[in-house]
Amino acid sequence: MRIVFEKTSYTYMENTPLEKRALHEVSTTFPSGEIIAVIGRTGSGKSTLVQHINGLLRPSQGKVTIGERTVDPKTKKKQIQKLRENVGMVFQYPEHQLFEETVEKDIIFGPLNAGTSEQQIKKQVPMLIQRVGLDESLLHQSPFHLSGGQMRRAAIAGVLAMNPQVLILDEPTASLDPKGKQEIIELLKEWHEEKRLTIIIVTHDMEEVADIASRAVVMHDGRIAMEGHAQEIFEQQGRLEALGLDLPPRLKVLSYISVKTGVPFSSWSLSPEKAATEVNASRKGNKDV
Amino acid sequence: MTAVSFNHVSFRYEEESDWVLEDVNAEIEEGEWVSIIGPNGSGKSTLSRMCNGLLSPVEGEVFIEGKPVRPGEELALLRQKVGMVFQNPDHQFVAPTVKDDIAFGMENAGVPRNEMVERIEKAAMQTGIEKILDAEPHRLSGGQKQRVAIAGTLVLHPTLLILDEATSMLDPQGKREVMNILKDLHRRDRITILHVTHDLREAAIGTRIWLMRFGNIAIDLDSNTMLDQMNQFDTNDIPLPYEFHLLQELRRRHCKEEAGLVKRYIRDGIAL
Repeated sequence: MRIVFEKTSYTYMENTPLEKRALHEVSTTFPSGEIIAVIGRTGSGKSTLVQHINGLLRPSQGKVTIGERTVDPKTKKKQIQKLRENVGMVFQYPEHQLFEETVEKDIIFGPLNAGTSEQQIKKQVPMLIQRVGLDESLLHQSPFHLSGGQMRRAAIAGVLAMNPQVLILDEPTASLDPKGKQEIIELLKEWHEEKRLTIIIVTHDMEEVADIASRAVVMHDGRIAMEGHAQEIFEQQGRLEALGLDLPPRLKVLSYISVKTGVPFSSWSLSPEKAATEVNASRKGNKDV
Repeated sequence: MTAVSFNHVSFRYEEESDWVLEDVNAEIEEGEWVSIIGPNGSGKSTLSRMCNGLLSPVEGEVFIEGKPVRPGEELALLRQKVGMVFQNPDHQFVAPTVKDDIAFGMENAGVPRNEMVERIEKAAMQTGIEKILDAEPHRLSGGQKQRVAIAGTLVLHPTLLILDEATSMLDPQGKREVMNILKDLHRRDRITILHVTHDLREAAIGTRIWLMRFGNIAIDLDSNTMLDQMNQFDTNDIPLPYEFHLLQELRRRHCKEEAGLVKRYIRDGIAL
């Protein structure tokens, strides 16, 4: 599903003394089927932007088009409900929203609410739980007995159960250990590979962006400061740094080697194996000369 | 002198439940910087909390500078010697301003007022928070909050500083701030550091690494050697960060010069 923002503005607490403009006439397109990273410092408008995609926020001005549906300042709540059948949202720290007695009940809560029959959804649960890398024996345990990473995956399973065409994740790996992070990223890659849905990830982990995203949008002060292929964005190191953003670790170390030894890398998103192979090839090339 | 010594330390929360620590034997020498890494539930935090009596071993004993850690009056004195900073920066403040918050521990310790002022000034300089001493703690960034928390321990003149996942909730900028302060405290002020972390990048900066697994120290290596023996880490529970993986691949292809560069890059913390 393609998502188009047209001069979308959003103001929190409009017409009050606490009024705060969080988005300023943002126009951009998220192409269907891509993994798009939304990057930016705290308070740059990242979360505000993506909350427009599932109608959690309605623009104060302008509009957002998600597939066939358009949300503008006048869109009614009922129409927004329809939107949410196709757009799944995983909030920050989703484990804080687990509340049922068992993991299974938590996973099926969303789809049940959206009108899927209990029988139908229960059939899918074993597949889902396996897909997010949890053991089936956990289904009948209380979600509060799971580890942080397990809880997060259970919460994501609940959203995947709705089989959304657009999946939004707000900092899906925040404060997980490296193994937990890796598991979530692999899960998303696999799900994307299979379903070809549009995935939007809000993150400040640049390694994650380099690893998973094909496109990136950089937010700054409620505006889009940069957008394009992730690779192109990483090439503009100076601008990223000026926006107070970190560079992806692989870019940092590869450009460090490049500066010190003159090895020219073909890309800043090479895997460690490929980068080492290029170093090796370049050394051999030098010897021949 | 030996700063910390764990002598056959075992711990579990309740009788009959599983051991969280099982017969840990290890020592930290004065001036070392030990990083403890390991998966969740491996006992990292539990072990660090034994050092100032927040938790007591069920079996065995912990010694700080040769003295046993035991419940009782001496614990208050011990806690001045062993500073501790925790994971969540928002859970550590008690006073309305940064300055008052830093002074809190000294008031309890009975430090005279004029000396307090001097100590706060020095700790503020060590942690780079001179300009925010009058700020309200809750308005600070995560990195600033953790620096204030470190300053709050420094005024009590600790010889050992423990960071229990103190960087894990910080953004990259905040992590850098805290790690740079640790480097200075270790190098300039000779403070012994025990840093519990999930981040191999951070761990590689110290002098020694303990990898904990199932309540025990499974691997104990000096950080330099660790980078030469990473195959020991390349398991399911400790994914290697990009530069570490790259270092391995360069070695495999005998690119010595570049491997040396990357090793220095990791050790100096340029990656952070």
